[in-house]
Amino acid sequence: MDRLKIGLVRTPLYYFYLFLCELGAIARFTGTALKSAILPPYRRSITRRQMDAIGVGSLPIVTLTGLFMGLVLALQSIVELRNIGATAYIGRAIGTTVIRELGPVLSSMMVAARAGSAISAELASMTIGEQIDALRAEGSDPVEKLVEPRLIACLIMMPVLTLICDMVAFIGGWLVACTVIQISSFFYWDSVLEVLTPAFVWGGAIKALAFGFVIGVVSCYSGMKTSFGSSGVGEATTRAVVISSISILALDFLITKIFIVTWW
Amino acid sequence: MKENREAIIQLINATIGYGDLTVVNHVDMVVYQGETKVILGPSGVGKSTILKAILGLIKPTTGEIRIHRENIVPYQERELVRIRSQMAMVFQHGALFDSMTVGENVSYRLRELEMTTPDKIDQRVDEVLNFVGLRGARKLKPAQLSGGMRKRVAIARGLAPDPEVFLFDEPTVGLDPINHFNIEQLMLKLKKTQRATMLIVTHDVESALRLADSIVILHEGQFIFDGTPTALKENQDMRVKAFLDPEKFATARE
Repeated sequence: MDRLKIGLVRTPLYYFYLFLCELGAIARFTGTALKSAILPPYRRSITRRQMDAIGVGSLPIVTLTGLFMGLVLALQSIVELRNIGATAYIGRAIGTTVIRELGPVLSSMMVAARAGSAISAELASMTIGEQIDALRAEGSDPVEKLVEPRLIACLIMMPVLTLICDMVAFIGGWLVACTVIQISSFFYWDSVLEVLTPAFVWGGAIKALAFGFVIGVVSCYSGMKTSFGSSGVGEATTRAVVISSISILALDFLITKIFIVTWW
Repeated sequence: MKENREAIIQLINATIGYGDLTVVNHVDMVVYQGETKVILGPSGVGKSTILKAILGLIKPTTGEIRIHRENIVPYQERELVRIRSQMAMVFQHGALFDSMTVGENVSYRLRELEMTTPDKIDQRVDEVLNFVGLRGARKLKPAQLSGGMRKRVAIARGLAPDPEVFLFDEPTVGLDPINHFNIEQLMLKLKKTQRATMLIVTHDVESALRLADSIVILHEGQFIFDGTPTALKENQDMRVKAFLDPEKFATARE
């Protein structure tokens, strides 16, 4: 094996080999984290603290994202709908776009940027300060102690934050619809509620759950695999946000395709 | 005389490294019960790596590491927890848990492994903080402590579960002379009162000579000396001499 590795150094095949090794390591880490999250013991108090940090802490940024998303979406929709004389359908247009796509994706990106980077930076600092080694030396499993509560918190809070983001976006859309095209509130909300079918609502929630899982796993993995050195924390944080964001977009495409074929 | 004592830690033909990088190459070492052994060597030669391998934090690529005659190399994490419960590691910069108070840090293993009742844990925390001279620091956070205090809390954390073996990673590095002296005195106190088996990694020769019952010198991945402090002073190996007194050695070469 060593001979093979020496023969492949600096060739594209070698980088592909490294990529596969990294993929394998992430898969093993994900398996361990999932097993720890599913099987007892559950670290309830640490999980609650993480839910507070990830969920409640991200509430302002997610709310603002939802509000501006609703406002802008309404303005853009009015321009297009006016061309075909269908401004009455603005609630439907905003409802569909937000609940199926923009709500889960944008709120997840915000959580990845805010909470994912914080998770990664915290774990990277602990790795560099040998606190992860100290945990193991003291008889604890770092995955159980650090990864499991953060992963569970991401899984629980992401759908909740997405739901809040969706609601605020509807309110943003309503503000614009009422003031710019003077549509009646009843008509707007009735139009929004028309698209809030169980399939769309559950679809959005499943997407949020999947994105929460990605944020939890990527941020924890990135933090715990930090190389030594002061720049390690910065690199881990950047890596966590970039990989989480790209994974969310790619996963969104995949889930949307599956839902369109099977459910929506 | 040594052969009559039980070997607590044994490295047998151990090669240890990180990925493709070999740090320590086919080395043998024994630490006997109640002995204070010092691994001496310049920074970056792999002294701390040996401690991590003994704790099972990294696995050697070849050879065996035995704790109480048990080869721990093939052990999984669960079995390693049992092995680690007999040992305490004092990390180079303390490695205290930032999110916890001093008291919580010290009582961590006792609480985590449910080793005793909460009342007894409280009592033990007071005892060990008193031992290291930090009676009033229980409620402080690690960020509020000086370098010397952090080291002492780390020693208290190690001492709390009353382990059989202490592993020290550069215990006096980066400390001012007063804290350096205090930590060294604390280790001597530990040696005398607890009769603990200690394995200390350091590059501080004077400190090693004061603390050690036996010393090994690590040079380019190999142990080039293994013996008593007296034997070390009399050793004629040029590499050993160069490490012990680099200034004199450089002058002699000129």
